[in-house]
Amino acid sequence: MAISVTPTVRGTISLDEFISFCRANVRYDDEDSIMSAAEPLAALANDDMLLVNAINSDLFRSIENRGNARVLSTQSLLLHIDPIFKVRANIWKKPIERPGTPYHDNAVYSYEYAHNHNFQLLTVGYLGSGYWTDIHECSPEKIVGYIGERVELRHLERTSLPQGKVLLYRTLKDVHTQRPPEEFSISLNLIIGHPTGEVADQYNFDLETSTIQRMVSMPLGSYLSVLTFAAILDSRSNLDATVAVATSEAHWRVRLAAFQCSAILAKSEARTVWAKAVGDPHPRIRDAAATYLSRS
Amino acid sequence: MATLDERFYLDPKNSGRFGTLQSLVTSIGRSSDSTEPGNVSDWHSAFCALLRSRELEVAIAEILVALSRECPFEPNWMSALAEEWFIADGPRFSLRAFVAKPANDTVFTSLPYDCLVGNLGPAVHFTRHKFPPDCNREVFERGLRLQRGVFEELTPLQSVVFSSATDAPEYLVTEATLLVELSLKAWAPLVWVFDTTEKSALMCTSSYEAPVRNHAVAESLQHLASKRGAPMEPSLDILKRLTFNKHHHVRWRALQSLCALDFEVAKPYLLRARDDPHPLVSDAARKAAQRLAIT
Repeated sequence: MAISVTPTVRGTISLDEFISFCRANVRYDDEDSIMSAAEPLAALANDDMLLVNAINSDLFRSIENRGNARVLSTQSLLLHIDPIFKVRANIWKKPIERPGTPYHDNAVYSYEYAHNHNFQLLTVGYLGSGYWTDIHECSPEKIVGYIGERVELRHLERTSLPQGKVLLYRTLKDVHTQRPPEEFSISLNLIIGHPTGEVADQYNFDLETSTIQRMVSMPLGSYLSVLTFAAILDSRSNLDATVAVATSEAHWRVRLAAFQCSAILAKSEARTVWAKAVGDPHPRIRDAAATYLSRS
Repeated sequence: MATLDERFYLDPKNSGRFGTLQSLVTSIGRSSDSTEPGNVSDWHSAFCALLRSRELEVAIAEILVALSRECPFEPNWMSALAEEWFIADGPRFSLRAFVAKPANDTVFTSLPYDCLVGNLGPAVHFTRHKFPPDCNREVFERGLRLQRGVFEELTPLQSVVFSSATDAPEYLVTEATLLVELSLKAWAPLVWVFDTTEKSALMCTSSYEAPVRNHAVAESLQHLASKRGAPMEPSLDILKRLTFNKHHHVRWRALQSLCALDFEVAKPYLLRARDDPHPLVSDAARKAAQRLAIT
């Protein structure tokens, strides 16, 4: 079973009161502290005017013109942002059956998309019968983090998020696949990020093969962008720098990308580059080197 | 080496190495202060000069050197996921570089804005399909077929001008390449999605986020007021405002919500919508008014 409760709280609290509670009580690495916010979150969700007032605020008026204010994605409205947590509302709609739109709507609402989060997410149903979700559990400490990696996923339950129900999606561990709701629904989310701002891997999984299908986010991804640019530009003058990155103490994925980029830039001397990778401390890099050297 | 938190290549102290880039960004930023969005082709020669200057390659080389020295590098102008570099960004323009890779797409889209596209990597090909001359880009027509264009090549350091009003470029990328795009933030009314086989229109989306959010707000207010029992006045006020939104699908959604919540309040807005400049809204409003026998 996933972690869920249906608080019986009847009164309401304001957004400011909820924020104060979270600042004083909620900690990223303490699931009990996060669950202590379940009742206050449910009380916040009891406020019928919460979203109407938010939409009517000056901050949201700017959305009418620019559209990018205080939002995460097109189905989300950001109600508050603090250094380590955010409060947002998410809209959930049924995909419209027209050519092209199931794909489009699935992308907007992340339907049929098994993924974990690199943040703690406590959520409450605010309106409607809510989306459906299949929740699996993984052991993040056992994951190396590469496309195609086999990951043990244990099915916990299929559940929904009707008005008043609170669900906790544990950071990294819970893998969920959203399914469309039966009616227009809205949820409120409390999102708690790592206090240091550290970004852990976040994955999209293929449930049929129980493998990692795509990286949703990863540390030092910007390094990978630059290394890709360098590989495309194919200028040998960048070789010293890319080899230096490859042999640095950067994350193993950055080092692997730097070895691959260096091998492209080195052209006929690619073998020399991969020879340096043989002694890398990370097995994925040693495997890549061995594969290349055995073929060439 | 400047700190990598900032766009060091835009720092005036580094104008010796990045003079062409800084000149383009400064000029376009200055011109963007005017009320008119301008024409992206006005910047074509400066954009070509930037490509030829090789300053973008120098910036990438300098970033690599900084990385090799284990300089922390998580700036918000370099995408962590999309292999995309937001070189410069202003209220009315955007200059970015991105990787185009071989893909087996079944759809392609029209452009959300006018843009210049330059190539820093291997050659890439595209076909510039055209909207029929009599097509109103603001009125989506499912099944509309594009006029098939000529197959063209974008060689290294070459650039091309695309118009969102007429062009729907379909790329053929056989090898990963690095493209640079300069766009003015004057949004096309809609982005049309076409299938690659027939070049016929499948669906349309918004060209930017504001109308999507406003549409969602209009729909949400209807459900919030009708199902949560919240006082209706504040919702009605927002919806009335949204019936004047510049995007026709927002105006229509707001009108639908108004009608669902309080038909008496909605009536004058529905009647006014019979003369809406967008035919989909005016036709629907006329039919609704006729069916409901209101005048």
